[in-house]
Amino acid sequence: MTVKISKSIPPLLWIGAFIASIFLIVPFIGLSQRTPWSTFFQIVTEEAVFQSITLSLVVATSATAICFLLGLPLGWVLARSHVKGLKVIRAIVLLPMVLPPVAGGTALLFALGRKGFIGEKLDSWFGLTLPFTTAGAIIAATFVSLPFFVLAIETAASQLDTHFEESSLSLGAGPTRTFFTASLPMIKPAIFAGIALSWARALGEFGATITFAGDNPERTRTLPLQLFVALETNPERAMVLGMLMVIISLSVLVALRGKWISTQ
Amino acid sequence: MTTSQNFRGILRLNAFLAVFSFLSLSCGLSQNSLHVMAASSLTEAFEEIAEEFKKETQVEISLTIAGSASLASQIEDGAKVDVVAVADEETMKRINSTKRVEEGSLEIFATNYLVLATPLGNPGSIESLQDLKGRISAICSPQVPCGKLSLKLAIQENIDLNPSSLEPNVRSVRTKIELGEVDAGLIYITDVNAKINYITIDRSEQIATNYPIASIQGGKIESTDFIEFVLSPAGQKILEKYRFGAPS
Repeated sequence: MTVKISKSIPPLLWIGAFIASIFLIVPFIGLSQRTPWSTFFQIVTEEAVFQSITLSLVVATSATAICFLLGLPLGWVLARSHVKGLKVIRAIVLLPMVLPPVAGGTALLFALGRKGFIGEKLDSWFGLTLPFTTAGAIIAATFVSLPFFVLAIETAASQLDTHFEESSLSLGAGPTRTFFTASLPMIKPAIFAGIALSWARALGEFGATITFAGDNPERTRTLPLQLFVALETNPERAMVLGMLMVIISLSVLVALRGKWISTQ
Repeated sequence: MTTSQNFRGILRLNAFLAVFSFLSLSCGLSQNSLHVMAASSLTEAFEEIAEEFKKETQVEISLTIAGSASLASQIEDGAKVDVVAVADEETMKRINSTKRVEEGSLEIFATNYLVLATPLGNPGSIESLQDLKGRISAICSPQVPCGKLSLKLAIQENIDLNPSSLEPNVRSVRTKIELGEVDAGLIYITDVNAKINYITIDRSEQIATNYPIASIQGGKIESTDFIEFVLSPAGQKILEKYRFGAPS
């Protein structure tokens, strides 16, 4: 039966799928054609570039860690709870995915900036300011990548066969124990997918970062910001950085997301 | 049956929309309009100049506003454009290095200089460039003319600016000041508005930047008329209104 299904795709869909793939692949072919491969390694190891790579890895990884700690509970609650008002939360969670990141950055500035309604308190109580710091860049990256993690968890949790959890509960295990022993292992693939997607999204974050965290060469100039600067001053470096981001993101997506799909 | 008919209908509609949007995009710039690219700092002045120019000549101006550096990159990449106006001569030289500037069309049409701007009420008590030390400040990124000018000013005044952020253009420096995110920033005198305070820097006018304008090869004949209009008393009056200096 399965064999039949995979062979019964209408020709029209094949054509559409083909065009869609070409559309997605062509820009990367353009980029790889213009990439100066002979100086690739030399440019990647330039001090300014290397600094951006390190900073980007720190920012993307920290953001993903926060996504995991906060996105897992939120995704789970959204999938399982019927509490009133969750519909609104569900819509708001998706906002950073569809908003232009610049708008997200502006919103962050109004909330957590030095004169923002929370940022003002952080400044006057703790002397803490987030804009123009690495912490600010991590917050911007978390803001845009959290929805990817929440969505991965929510989708998995709502499609889960509740059989095991029900047995666990009926055998007397509490909700917390059931969650950790019965539920969590079953959504492991979704967690990997969420990590891959939110990490890749955080790595590519530009608009919210430059708006909220500014462009500070030591503290907030991540790879995409370095690419933006290079585009106007050093096109060769820009092409190398673009290609580097493609390679890193693709590796992470293939490694972690592939794992998810194959175990499903 | 109905599903497949619906499906076909949707496909047809999609194909139609795709072709339609492609056509309408590629014909977006009408044949009669003159395509002018101008630096961010010229936004309001050039919008007004474009309007006046249209009244006088019936030629529509299609304006593209961006940082001087991205304008240069776009022209280097072969963007179709008739006239370009940027915020310093260095950027124009860069554009000219691809031999795309029409020979003999280049003119200096305005000047501009930097001032020290602070949020209203000057919460950081900034009175001079010296006070910037250890404060949160923003300047333009060195790839754009206002950033280059800021560095030049720092060298002239022998000051280490050490900015917290290098903003992509002068307007985003102003926004950071307006919002109170920085204690001070360097912006053009022409970018000063009612939502910020500013302090003039004594010798800043001595290193004023010159704004060049030029027509691009293969552009329309009206390009010359537009450049002449910018240099005419009518054009200069508009620029003066926005605090641009007259070319010397």
